[in-house]
Amino acid sequence: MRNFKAFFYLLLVLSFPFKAICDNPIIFSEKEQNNYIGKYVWILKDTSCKMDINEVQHSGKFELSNQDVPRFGFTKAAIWVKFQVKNTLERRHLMLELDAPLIDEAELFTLNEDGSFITAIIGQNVPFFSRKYDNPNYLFDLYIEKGDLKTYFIRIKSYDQIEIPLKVTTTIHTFSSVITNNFMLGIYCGIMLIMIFYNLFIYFSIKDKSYLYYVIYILSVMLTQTTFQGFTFKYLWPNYPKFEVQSILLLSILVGYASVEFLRIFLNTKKHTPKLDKVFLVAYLFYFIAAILVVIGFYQLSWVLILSIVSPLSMYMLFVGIRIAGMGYRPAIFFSVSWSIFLVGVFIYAMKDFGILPYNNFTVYTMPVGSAIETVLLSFALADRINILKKEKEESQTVMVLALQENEKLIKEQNIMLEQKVTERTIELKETNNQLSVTLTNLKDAQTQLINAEKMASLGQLTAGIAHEINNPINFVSANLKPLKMDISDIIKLVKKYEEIKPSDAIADKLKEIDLYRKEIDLEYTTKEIEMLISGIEDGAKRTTEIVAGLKNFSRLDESESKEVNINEGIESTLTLLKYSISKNIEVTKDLGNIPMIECLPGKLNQVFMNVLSNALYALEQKKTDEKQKLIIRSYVEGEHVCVSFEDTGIGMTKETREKIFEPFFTTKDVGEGTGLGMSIVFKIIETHHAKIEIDSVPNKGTKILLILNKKIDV
Amino acid sequence: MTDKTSILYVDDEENNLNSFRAQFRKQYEVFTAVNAKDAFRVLEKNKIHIIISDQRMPQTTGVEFLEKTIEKYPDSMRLLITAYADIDIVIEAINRGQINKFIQKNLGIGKNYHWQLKIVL
Repeated sequence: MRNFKAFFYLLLVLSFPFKAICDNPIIFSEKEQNNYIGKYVWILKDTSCKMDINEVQHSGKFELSNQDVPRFGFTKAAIWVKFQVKNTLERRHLMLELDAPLIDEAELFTLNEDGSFITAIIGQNVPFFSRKYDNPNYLFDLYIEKGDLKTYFIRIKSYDQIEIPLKVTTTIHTFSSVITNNFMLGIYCGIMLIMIFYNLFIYFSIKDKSYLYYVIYILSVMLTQTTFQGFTFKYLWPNYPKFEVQSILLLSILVGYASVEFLRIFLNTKKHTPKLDKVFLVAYLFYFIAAILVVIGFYQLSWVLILSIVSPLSMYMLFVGIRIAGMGYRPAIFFSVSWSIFLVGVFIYAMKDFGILPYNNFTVYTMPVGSAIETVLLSFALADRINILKKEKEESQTVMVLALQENEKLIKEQNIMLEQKVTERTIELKETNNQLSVTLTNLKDAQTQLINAEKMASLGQLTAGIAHEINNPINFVSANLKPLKMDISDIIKLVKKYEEIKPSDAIADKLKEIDLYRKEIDLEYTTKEIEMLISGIEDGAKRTTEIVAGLKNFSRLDESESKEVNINEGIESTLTLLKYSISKNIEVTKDLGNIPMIECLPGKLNQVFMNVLSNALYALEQKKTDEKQKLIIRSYVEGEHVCVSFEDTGIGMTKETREKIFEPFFTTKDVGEGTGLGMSIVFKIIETHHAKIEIDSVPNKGTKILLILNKKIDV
Repeated sequence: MTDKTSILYVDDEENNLNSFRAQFRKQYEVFTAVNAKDAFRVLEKNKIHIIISDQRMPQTTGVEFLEKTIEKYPDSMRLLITAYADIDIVIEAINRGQINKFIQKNLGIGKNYHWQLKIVL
């Protein structure tokens, strides 16, 4: 921002009428020391940059400058300045000040009386600490005795715009101005640093990106400003003169970028003026190119590029700021004001550069002052932004609170609805539960009924068997009685006939008669028949007794007490009761071993035997063949167990039947023939005896059922 | 040979045979057999007017036995005694055994089948 229209100056310089070199010495006095000596110097442009002092010394191409501060803009040429100083003061040590810290290199040649030269070189290309005077501005010693006149040449070379503000002063004056300069810069840096840290802290606490960009922006502005004053070279990278040359370029680019980015974020240009915002991207492109130019070493070209976009861009930024301010966005008003103040500072500085305003302490400092004021104002703007954010936050909080209240209301309503629903569901569940309880009770009742039915069915089966079994012997007992009576009455008649014989009667006749009768009734046969009939009655009575005994044994069906019994008896009595059901072609083999008494529920076990044997007999009958069928019943001891096996050669079971055999209501019998509960009851009884039941069955081959009972069980 | 009506009674229960013989030997000429095989032996040797058989016997049932007698001894009267009132047996007995009378065995001790038989005969 420092210089505009560099070529304009060049044109100005070139357009001056040629002047012959003549002596135009600076008559140095106390009054003179505040003024730039531009009008006292001769200038020579060495476009080849190859001329040396000897060549220059005698060159006639020097022209008198007519400006207080000669300017050349960008030039690749080396500028030679020639001037003469006549000292009117007592002190011989004077200072030559070149207030252009950005000039890359300045070499002073002092012409001695003998025609030789003393040289002194200062510049950005030389490490800072090699300077004699620890100051950003270039200071040269001039030693002139009172009344003497000395001639000096300065060779200046720079990638930057070249302007040559030269002053001849006393040492005291120089150092007081250096102190002032440093003081001013100190104040400026102080303001900037405070702003940097303040905004950095704000950034850390509220994490608003615009603060970060603001910090970067101020930092870069501060560095740029101090670089212009030559202080960064002094304090930050004194040992890197090469970087000093690049730094001002890079910092200028950074300032441009950071200011634009800050503006975009701060004013939210994307949202407010999306079309205007796009222009900034073009600016970024320019800056990017400029940065690349710096990196590859085209410093001057980079400078031209930066300077050519700087003024349109700053005006454009102001325009955008005002535009957004016009939209009623408060930060934009702050921005516009502060940015205009900064631009005024720049404008005054530029006016100074143009020569419209004088090159003095005020004009020199307008830019830092403008920048400081801008910084402070922007900081106010950011603070105001906090207010806005706060307001927005409060508003959003109010909205949120309202929403929350609304939500709470809704939740309350929903809760009421939910509670209602829960109550309804609970009632439904209770009802269901009640229904289920009723169903369960019904089922239990049904189960009890079914078990009872099964019991009745087996009892019925038993009764039928028993009735028949008893019927047969009783039948022949009663059937024998009639003929027995007849036979006995025949014999009684015979005996009576013998009794009728009186001693007086003719015994022979009588005996003959009796003998006839004897033959009639066939006494011999009758006697035999009587024996036969009696033995038949005996047999019948015996068989009936057996059955009754068996029944008595079996009738433990309902005993619930566990007793020590020999289960062989149970098997026997069960078989007795089933005897009638066993068809004649079934050969029953009993192989009942010598087994110990075991503790069990005898009635229940008999029920097991009854069910298993009934099934075996059913399976045998279903085979429907004339072949002899076998039913083998075994009981034996095996270790701690008493085993009973029932083996038949019946129809056997399929795998499906085998799997479902213990399921209640599963039956292979026709409807009405079986309850389907027999084996499930068997399983239950076996379970209560902690016993095991093993089934081994092959369809059409037969079935083997093995009961494994414990010798001692706690039922 | 007498003029008495001859009866063949077949039953696997020997006591029943004894009882029957004792009951009826005076009025009738009574033959008995414990199985079908014996029965046919008797039939071969004697002229039998009435054949009575128990239904439930090993190997050959009463109906089966009676059925076999139809061809050789069509004139004989055939009676079946059974404990069952099973309709299938009754149907079989009539259709296959061509029986003249069906006597139920188990009517109780007081009214045993001999009396029924008496009424029948």
